[in-house]
Amino acid sequence: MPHAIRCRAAVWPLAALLAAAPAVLAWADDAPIRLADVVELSGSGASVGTLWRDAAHMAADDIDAKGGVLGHKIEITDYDTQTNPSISRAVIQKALDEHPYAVLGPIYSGSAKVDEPLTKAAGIAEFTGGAATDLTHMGSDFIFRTALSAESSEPRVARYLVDDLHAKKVAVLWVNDDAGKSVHDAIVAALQKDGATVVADVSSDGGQVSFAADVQKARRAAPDAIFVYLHEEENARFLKEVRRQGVKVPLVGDTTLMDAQTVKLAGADADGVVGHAMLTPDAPIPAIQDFVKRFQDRYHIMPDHNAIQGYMAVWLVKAATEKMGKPDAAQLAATLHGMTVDPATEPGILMKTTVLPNGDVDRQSFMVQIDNGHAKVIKVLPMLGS
Amino acid sequence: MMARASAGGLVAAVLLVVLAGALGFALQPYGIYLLSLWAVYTIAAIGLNLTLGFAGQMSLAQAAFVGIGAYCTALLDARGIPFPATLAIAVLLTFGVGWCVGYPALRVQGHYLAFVTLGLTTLVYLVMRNETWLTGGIGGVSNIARPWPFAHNLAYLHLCLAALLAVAAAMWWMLRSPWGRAFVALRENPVRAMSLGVDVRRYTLLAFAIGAALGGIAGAFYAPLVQYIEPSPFALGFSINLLMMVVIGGAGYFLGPFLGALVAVLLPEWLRFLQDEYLIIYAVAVILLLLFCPTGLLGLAERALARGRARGTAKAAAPVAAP
Repeated sequence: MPHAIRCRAAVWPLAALLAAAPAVLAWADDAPIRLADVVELSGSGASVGTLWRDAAHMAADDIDAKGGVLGHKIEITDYDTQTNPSISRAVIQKALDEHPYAVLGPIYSGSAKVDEPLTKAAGIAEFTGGAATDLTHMGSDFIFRTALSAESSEPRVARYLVDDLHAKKVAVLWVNDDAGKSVHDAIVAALQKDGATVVADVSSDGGQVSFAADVQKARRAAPDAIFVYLHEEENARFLKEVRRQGVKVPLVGDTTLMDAQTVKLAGADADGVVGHAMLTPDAPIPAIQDFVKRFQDRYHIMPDHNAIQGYMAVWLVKAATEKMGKPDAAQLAATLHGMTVDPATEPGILMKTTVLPNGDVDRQSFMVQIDNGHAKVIKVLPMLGS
Repeated sequence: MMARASAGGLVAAVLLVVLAGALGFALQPYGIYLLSLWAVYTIAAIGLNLTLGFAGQMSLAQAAFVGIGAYCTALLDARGIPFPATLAIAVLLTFGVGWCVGYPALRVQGHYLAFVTLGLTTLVYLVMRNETWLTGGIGGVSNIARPWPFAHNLAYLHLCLAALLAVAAAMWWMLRSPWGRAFVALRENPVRAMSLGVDVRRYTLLAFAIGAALGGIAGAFYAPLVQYIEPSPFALGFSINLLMMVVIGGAGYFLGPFLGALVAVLLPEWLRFLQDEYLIIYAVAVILLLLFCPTGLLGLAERALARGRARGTAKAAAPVAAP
């Protein structure tokens, strides 16, 4: 055999071995499980992204302290999307070029929508905090929510408004961004389904300073209750305006209205507000209270629902990996679909969580009332599947 | 003054584009995406450089034109219209809107014109966000296809670079033509330009319309690049970012947008290793650059060249000592 041909014959297996090396090395006995944390660390989403990131790192440290995932340590690399979809498109590509085991984030739906086709093409599971309804309807088997979708949450709020408050006419005030639009569409549909009428539909801008006209418009419609979904700072401005104009009807919201930041900024004006919280640091669950305490000790800041989601996402990765018996990025998404993780067997998950076939999650949620500056859970709502 | 659209400038632009195209073969998809984004932003900045740098018309509306081009492409693509047709429609549409925006410039200048164009950016943003029936609203438009046969990242990079090259060549030709001289005359002294027979009204409108059309081209390439658009990237912040690209590169220099976009797109990415502080360092670098070099990077280069030439002339003129 000529020498050149023999050389070539030897080169091909060697090349194949080198090509396969990264995959082999990636899950060698002591190789870490690398997670790409693609979140909003600057721009308008920095406050939520930072809490998510901190909680994800805390989860990784907690898991590593208990011996890791099947003996593998967790290594998280953070990528800042700058709350800009075109930058998110760049950094998710950078993250995927480095072959992560799974992707955590983004939280903003716009960035999540940009990233979704890429994680799908790469076959990598992506855990998003995005609220947009269509995120789990875009044909990807690799996208997973970390919180209830608006489609799941708002029927619960509508039921509370109609059944508990006997509201027939509801004014809806909402912030016109991706999360606000999803919540708006879901609550309007749910109210109509439950026989209530939306008598005022008022959208506002993120960062809006004055709510005088918005409150007046809602008040003129003479509603039995006002549903509100704004950002925390705007919630506080809205609540102050509502009190200033002497509006007496019940104020009901979702998650952000009962957030600690809203309560802190609105002060006494937040008292009496009721709302649905898919995740809350005030949940009467010992595991969540323990998480909140440890988070505060570590970062000196109160965690919110985004932090809880970031923490849970890492523990979901752990639970699915241990179910597979070995780290297998290609099978992670398939394993997650339909999987239920119970705190009895996996305490880090904090609350019993079921991953639905389309990537949505199902878990308990809470009706919360602000009383004397503190959020109190007044009702625990069961899982939809229970 | 350095010839601002010299043959050397065109050669340098061609070399930059060819280098970027060759670099694409060696880069992973992340690097290829960044180079594509640089090409798209450079086209938008070239348009703004014409309006602001050469014709002296302050504009904060370039993001709106990029947005109109992007939405035009995305919405028409969803209706099965091929990319060359969507590109042509985007150019015509933005040219028309840009022409209309030019009218206020006939009455107001400077800061006042900036506010008028800022108003347009806000207006276009609100239309994109609120007219859900047309634009998809805040949910945006997903799954925007890349034109065949440029679906692959590297092929699409080369398409963007080809578009940049074509735009750069056309701009270079125009700047050296009587049109280019008329634009500069408009910037330097409109009254004198008018007295010399330059139709100030027409060239003011053209400066806006051509700059806007280039924004439209950039938008038409942006939408298939990111494959998803929503209103927020086309808000005021992006107009200011484009303005920064023009100023950092050197307003009124042919090569300015190439360098400005390079700084705006690549520098923050290179600085990512600094983790939490990377955007602070980037912002400080930009502030220092503008403080010490208000004429931009090319202004700095021009000053350095002028100093070098002056020293050379002084040495040549010095008396030779007698042996």
